[in-house]
Amino acid sequence: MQLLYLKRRGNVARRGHKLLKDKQDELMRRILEFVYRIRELRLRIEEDLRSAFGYFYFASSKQAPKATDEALLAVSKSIDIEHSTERILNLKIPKFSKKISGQLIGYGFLSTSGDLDLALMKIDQLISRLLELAELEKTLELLANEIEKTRRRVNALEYILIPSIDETIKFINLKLSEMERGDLTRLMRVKEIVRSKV
Amino acid sequence: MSGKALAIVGKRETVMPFLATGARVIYVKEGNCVQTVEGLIKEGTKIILFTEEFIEELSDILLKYRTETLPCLIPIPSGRGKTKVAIERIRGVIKKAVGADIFLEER
Repeated sequence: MQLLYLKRRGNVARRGHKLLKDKQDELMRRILEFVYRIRELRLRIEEDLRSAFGYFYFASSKQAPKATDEALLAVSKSIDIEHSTERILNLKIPKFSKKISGQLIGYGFLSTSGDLDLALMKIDQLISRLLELAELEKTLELLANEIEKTRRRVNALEYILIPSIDETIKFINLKLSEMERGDLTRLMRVKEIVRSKV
Repeated sequence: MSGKALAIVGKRETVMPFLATGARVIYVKEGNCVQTVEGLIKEGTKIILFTEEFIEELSDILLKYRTETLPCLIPIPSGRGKTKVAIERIRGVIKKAVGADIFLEER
């Protein structure tokens, strides 16, 4: 009884192991794709942000500090983020889309320097890339977590559960054949005794 | 919902230009960053961008929301030279998952 049950369990474990292994491979393939995209994007953003900040500092050093504050307060833009989730291998991946309304430049040109316009425009363009980066990095993190979990499961199945089931099956098989042999010799012995008495 | 979904957290002089994007910009100093971000998460902010210098301070929160789909907590460069903390963080994540440093060729 137990032997049959264990054999079934062993089969299920092996099938599960194969599935999980496939899942792990697929996750790995995807994470590699993301890694390259994220690296490119991050480096580009870093570069652009630095130049935008450069313009901004330059502008704010040229004009009165109050003027910068006022100019920024006059920006009438608002950004709406809509979010949906996508599923990759049973993982919920966030997707963002943005809706922008309002105007970027709502301040007077007299009290502010031209560099401020440049800086703000650059940063404004950056925001969609930052959203993309947010999306990608979150996905990467979730994928990495899932890989870790899957790897642990694969290893547990491969090195612990399946070998232990196999060992138990082997033990039961040995015991059963041992019992069978015992029965057989006992039978032969009894037959011999009966025959010698006749 | 406007301005609520996206928040940018950092020191005043660093994140001030982000006011131009229409996002919610919050100024913090060392020490009160954690409460601010926690407050934002409670309010339901979906994406929180923070400058790299607060990455250490926020490490507990980052760990806590690592496995959740939302909120997205993403470090952005602070614009003062390369601190590289953010890239190091991703590298750590990948190293742990893949078991090898595949970000290596960047150096």
